[in-house]
Amino acid sequence: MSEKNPLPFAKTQSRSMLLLVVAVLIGLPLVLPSATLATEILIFAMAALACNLLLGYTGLLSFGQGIFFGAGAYCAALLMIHLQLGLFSALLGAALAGGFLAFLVGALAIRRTGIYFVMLTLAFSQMAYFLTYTLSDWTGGDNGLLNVPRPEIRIGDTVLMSLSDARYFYAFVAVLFLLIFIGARRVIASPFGSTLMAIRENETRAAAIGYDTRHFKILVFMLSGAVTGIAGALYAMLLHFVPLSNIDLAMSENILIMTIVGGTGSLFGSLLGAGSIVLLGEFLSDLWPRWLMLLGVILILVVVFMRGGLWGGFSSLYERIKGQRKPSLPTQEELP
Amino acid sequence: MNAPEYLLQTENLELAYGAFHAVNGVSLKVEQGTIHTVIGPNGAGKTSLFHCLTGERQATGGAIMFDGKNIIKKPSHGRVGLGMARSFQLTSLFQNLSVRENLRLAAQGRDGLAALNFWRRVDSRREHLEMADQVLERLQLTRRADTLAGELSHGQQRVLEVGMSICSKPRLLMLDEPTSGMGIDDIPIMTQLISDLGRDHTVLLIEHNMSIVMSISQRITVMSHGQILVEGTPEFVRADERVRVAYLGEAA
Amino acid sequence: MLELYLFQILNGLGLGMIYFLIAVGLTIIFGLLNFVNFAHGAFFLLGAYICYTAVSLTGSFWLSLLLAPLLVAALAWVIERLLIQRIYHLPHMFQILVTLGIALIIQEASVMIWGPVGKSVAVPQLLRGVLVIGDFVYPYYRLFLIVFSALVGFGLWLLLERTRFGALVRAGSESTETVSLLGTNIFRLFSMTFALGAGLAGVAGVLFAPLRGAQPFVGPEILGVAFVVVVIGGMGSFSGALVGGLLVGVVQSLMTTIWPQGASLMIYGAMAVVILLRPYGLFGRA
Repeated sequence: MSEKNPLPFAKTQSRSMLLLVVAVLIGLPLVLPSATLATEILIFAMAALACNLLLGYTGLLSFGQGIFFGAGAYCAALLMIHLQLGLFSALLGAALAGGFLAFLVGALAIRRTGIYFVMLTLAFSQMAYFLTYTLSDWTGGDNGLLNVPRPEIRIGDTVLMSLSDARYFYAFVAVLFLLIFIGARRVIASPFGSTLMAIRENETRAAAIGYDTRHFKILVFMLSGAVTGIAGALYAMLLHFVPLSNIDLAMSENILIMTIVGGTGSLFGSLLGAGSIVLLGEFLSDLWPRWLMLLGVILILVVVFMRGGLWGGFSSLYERIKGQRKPSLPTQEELP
Repeated sequence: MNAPEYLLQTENLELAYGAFHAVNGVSLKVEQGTIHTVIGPNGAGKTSLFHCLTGERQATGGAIMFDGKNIIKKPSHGRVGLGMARSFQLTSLFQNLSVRENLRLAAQGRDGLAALNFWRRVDSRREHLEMADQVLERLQLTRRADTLAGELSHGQQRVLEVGMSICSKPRLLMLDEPTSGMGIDDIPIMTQLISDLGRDHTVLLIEHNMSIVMSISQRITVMSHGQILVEGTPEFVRADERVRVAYLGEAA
Repeated sequence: MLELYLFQILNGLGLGMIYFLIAVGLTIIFGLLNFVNFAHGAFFLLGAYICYTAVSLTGSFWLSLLLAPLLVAALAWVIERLLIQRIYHLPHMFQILVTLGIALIIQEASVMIWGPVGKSVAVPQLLRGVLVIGDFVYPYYRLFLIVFSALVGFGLWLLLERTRFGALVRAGSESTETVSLLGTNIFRLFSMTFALGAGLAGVAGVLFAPLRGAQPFVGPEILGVAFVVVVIGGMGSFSGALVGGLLVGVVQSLMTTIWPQGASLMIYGAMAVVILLRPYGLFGRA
């Protein structure tokens, strides 16, 4: 690193990261058997990326991600079904719903730390599930919410693009993912993002040097919730259906698993994590109905041998070749 | 301008845990531009007093006047913006962030809420980077700017620990046993640093090491049993019989 | 109507005692090891299934009541030695991930061995039939459930309060350093505690089997309830687990007659309220 450059980041590295993401976005539908599968990966990558903002960058282990995902899905579906809202309004509604619920969950949960924080998010997650189940007039309860439309992109009355073709929908989701990815990197490179990492490292010190850490935690919760809500809405549009499992505790667990398996050290890790877990499920579930057993084994192996997740594994391999060393936690060095 | 004579002043400060008063009616006066040290045997209430001043503990009675305003209800993060800063007895850094980033964050914290801005870039606030680089130089850590804080030597971590407290351009530095856990070789560096900082900050110091205390303090407060026992210049305190008794115990 | 409520309360006490057995294992593990065990529901599941197999092989529920918890505890002991011991020092995130992995493996293995459809276990011969007092009718098995769980609870209390092992566990919950200073092999203590907790979940699984059978996907639900009980009672608190278990059991049972869908909503709501207002639980120490 040059002595002249006072900035804590390396610009070239950031550009190559962005190119990598674009390459993956273009490559996915070409390599995979269906655009739908590729879309699913990106949707969960969005959710994992949002989870990573909390877990990897702020050090908050939230079991509430399923709430925001489910809320986004139900909210968008209900807006489209009952109010005939269009694509962008529905997505905006989902983002607002996710962000608002994340505000509530976050504001309450951060009153406690450590395992009590985790247990609070877990309690809220279960409450959201049972509430959704109880409000079956609106949510369809156990049967889920059926006949969710996938609106076209339009300006006023002019239809610009129909998304009913899976490939077009993929393209739309990919563009959205890229925007969110760039946005998230920007957030991390901001004074706000740098403070999040300070809170993760040492909250007492962060408070002692002048930060009211509650504000930061609530804001990152809201950002994470909004993005997760958008992911949920896209998932509803993809399936034309909102299953009750979207707001299940298992959804929160899945999102966490994808985030950790991918590696909390980088946003790209979330894409890796979502990709590998979704693909594992897709290909194994047909061959072997008990594939979750293998997932269990993988979780254990990751913790024992590869705590940095897939991203950590790849980058330490890469650095061993290049002879460098980097911390496994995210820092600003990999940023724009 | 009508600046108060004392930058920091406590009036009858109390910190009670149930019936036990860790701090029992302390009226401390720290004069602008001095290095003021609080000493006392273990359990005298120095650390409790310090906790009240930093906001780590909420004092249960009395007042803390900083620059003429009572700040007793302010949480610790709120005191930074007023111009107070502290260091920790047990090194408390951002271990996995670079040395420069540690200092930059500390500079940025002076106006903590402005850091909620999540759409600007870190380098849009150049003044924080410049501050960090100035402090790096002052701490003689420029060569290690890009090292992770956790990878510094123990002595360097202690120096960084103290250095972080000056990044917010505070008027009052509160240092909690800065030499704590330092090797004998590193102590002169720290002594040098503190007396250097004393030139442009008011310093409130808690310290065990008597030779440091006597050599750099302008004023010394001796505490015992949660109260102020003696206060005065180093020479005055050194000569005081009660201080000897307090330090050596009842037998002396 | 009153009889119905009385009946539900008694049912709730039985259920509550099972919850107590599950939760007390979880809470001891948390207290001593500061370890978050997401595999606890899976140990319960395994207890129920081993009970099913033992009953179908030997015909004796009583033998299975002895055997299943021992086998579950032995398995837990092995898992602790091989795996859990390596991750005590890691952040909760990794502990949760590993124990989730273990839970998945146990759950899927159970489906492979016993099939995806639940197995029912008959109430033992001796306890079939009902107790009749005037108009009031109550199954013997449920009475047995309450009495037996109480005995196990009492035995556990003696173990924790009156033995050297118990003293070490309690001391270790305060500070593990102290225990190491006493010259105890702290790792052996950890293994035994972990196995004990899992064994208790196993006992609960066996007792539960004649009520609702052994079902492959019951683990997460049971784990959730156990967390509620542990939190309401206070993490690490024995008496808290007892009162919390009974409270949750009775509330759940009563709610089934009042507002069935609301039962879970309510207990998780209570869990959140307790953490927010009394983070150390109704019975925990600060």
